[in-house]
Amino acid sequence: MPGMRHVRAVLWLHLVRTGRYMTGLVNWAVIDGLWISIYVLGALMFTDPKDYPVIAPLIFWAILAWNLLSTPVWVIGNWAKFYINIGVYEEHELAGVSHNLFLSVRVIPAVMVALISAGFVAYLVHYVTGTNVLVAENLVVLVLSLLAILVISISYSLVLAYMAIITQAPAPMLDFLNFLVFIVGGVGVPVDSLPPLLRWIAAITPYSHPAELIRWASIGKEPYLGVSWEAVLTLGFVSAAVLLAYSMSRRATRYARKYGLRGIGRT
Amino acid sequence: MGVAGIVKAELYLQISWLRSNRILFALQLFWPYTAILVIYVMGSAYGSVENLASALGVEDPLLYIVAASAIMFAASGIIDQTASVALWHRWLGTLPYIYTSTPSFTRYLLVSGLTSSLFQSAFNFLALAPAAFIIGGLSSGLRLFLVFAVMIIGALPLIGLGITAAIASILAREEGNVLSFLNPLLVFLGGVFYPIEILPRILQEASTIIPVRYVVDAARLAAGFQTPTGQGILLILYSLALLIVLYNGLASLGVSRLERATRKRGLY
Amino acid sequence: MATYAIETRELRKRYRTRLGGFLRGQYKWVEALRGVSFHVDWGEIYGLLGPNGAGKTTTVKIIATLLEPDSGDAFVAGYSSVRDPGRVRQIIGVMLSVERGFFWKLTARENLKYFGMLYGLPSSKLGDKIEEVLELTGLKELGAEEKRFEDMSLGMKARLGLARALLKDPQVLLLDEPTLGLDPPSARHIRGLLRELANDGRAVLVTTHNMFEAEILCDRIGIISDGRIVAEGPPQELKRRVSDTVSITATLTGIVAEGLSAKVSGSGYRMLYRVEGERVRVRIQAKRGEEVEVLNLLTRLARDSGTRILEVRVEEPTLEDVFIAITGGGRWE
Repeated sequence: MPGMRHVRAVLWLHLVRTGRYMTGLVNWAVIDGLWISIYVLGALMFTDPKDYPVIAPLIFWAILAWNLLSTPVWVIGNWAKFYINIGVYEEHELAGVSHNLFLSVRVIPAVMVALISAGFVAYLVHYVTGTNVLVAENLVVLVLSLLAILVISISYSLVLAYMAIITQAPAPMLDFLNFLVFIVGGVGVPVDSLPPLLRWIAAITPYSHPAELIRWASIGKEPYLGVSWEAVLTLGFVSAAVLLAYSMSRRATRYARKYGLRGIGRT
Repeated sequence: MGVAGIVKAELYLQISWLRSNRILFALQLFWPYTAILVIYVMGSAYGSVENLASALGVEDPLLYIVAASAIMFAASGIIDQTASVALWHRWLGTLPYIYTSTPSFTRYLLVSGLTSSLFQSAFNFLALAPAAFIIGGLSSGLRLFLVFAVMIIGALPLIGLGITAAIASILAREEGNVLSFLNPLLVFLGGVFYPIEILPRILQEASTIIPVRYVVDAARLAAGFQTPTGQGILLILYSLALLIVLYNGLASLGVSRLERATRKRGLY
Repeated sequence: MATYAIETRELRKRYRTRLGGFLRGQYKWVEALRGVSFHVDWGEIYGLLGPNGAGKTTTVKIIATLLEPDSGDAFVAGYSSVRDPGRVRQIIGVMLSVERGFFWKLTARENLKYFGMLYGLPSSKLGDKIEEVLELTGLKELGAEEKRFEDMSLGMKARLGLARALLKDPQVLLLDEPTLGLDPPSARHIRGLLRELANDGRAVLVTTHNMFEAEILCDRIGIISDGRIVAEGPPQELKRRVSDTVSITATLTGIVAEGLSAKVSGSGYRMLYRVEGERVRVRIQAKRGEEVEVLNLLTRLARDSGTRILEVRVEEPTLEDVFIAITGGGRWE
């Protein structure tokens, strides 16, 4: 079956490459961890120490969510640039391999970077606040919500990658949503702490719903729209994101066959 | 090429670059505000600025955040302008021409680094000056200027550190990894948005040789409850002077050897 | 077999290129192919010969299913590249570039293993197949099988490209400039290998802008210029078309080539030229017996424009003369 054969080959390739680029990958994770820590420790200084047991886990899970939604933009989305520029896009096209498959499996290094840097932040937050941040009241929902964020993020990164193929602008330059989403979209801060108008914006933001579920599953903070609605909306946004990525992939592949493939970025 | 020539060429390069990249010019003005926004929004959601004032021991926490952001961007800019400049020229393919345009590559890195660092620091502080004026009028503006003055002195040891990193990273052929690591490390150990005392002991020790830390101390003095005392500022200047001697001494000791080795091994 | 190995019918393709404009871009359409038709027989090496930008790569990419033509169609073993790309991909082996298309941190063997897995070669046979193509392309002899792609020489990279193209035992090979920039031994090795593959009954389509290579390698040649096949046939037959001519070749220095070309044309002769750094190599075509006239013309023009003639020769016709005779000459890059 060609599908499984391709999955095996692509998995093998990305694992080998992850090993070969391990120094750079760990370095990247530490750099991410350092930058995030600078902001997290800064934000913690606003907090009354007696609130640490509640606030510290909230901040940690928000940061992990942020890592999971932002790293794939670079590791998957921006990789479209190399995929084309080093000349392997066409080789995969010739072998009949799905570009969605090839790019998505790069989630392996993306998750590694996200987890290593989150681990670094967890240690620091724990050291500074004396609070164990790795708490979960409902582990299953916590893991599923993190996975939902990851799936939306992979789909979003794929959309950016295909937009990069069509526009020839690198994916991170096309990504202006993630930063806004973190601040006003209910990921960095709980939706009910936002001003009323921003709560509506958060409600139509895909990431806010799994993020609310994460807060509920970790420290029991009641989600803004209630658990059931947040779960339904999470599923809805996951499906929509996957469908959007699939349709963009077809569009970009057709575009490349019609107009020819061009380099992305300053090439 | 003499020192004046390098200064002129570097200024010309910086101004031309800003003129030809209008969007990046605008982004450079805008980015320091994003740092303030992230800290402020996240912090306010989880606590209050009053808590921040008491945690940092400052009277004017907002002015402090503005000054700290300016320091963070200026420090990163200085490392970019010194350490990353060699990598940047190598990518562009202009490194061989720079290398052969001056009798000493070290001199080029030192003079061009100093020029561009001052230019970039001034740019970052100017970008945030309107925020300081809005927060506290002329008094806040002057306090921000005081921090900028200390930042200029703080730039000197940072340049020494940057040059050492630049040559070492060229030799190690790990430019990307070494240099991208240096910036967040300096800002992290400098304690821009939090007191160093909250970090683990070993990191506190390490921060004593980080120039950014002393510039941050100056920012705390500037946003403090009283007018900064001469004694406080002197202590900061004294620490920075020691670091200038340490890093630039280290750079001049090591760099000519590294430069020779670079030539032997090949640069391009 | 009844069908041709490769056949193209009236391929046409336009590209849109951006001219400028910041927000609202200005574009112009460039006709890359203006009705390209040719065929390649089984066991034949067919050379698509032409200068850069003539349409060679576009033609190969259309046959290889990577590009869709605006009109016309390409067929491989009777299957349409436009309507049945999946079938076509099973039959072809492709080499698109000497320097690209591999993962830098993987060794030659690992790169081949990866693509072999994608092509669906059974694990039990993959190892043997990799050994075979490593041997065949000379990579083993060069000790390059465990070298990472980033550490390979250009010659090794080209051989690896060919090795990948051969992995699935294709009956049709499509090779875009397979010897571009290679050292003579590597180019010779690749040419020898292609001949062996054709002798086994495979069809090989190579593009090249190297006329010498086209002449010694190909059974038949299609000369492509400005998106059209302007001449086609075996090299010897093509050369017979210009057997009544000779060529005066010269190397000149410090000259504006376009100006010289115009003056030579004004005198009724056709000229092909290549700019090589600060020198220009020119080839002027003349009827037999007119050599002295052309030499006098060249000397006069060189003197008038203050340039020096470094070398001059009179040569028997080659494929370059076929190109000059058909297209009227011009610049060759």
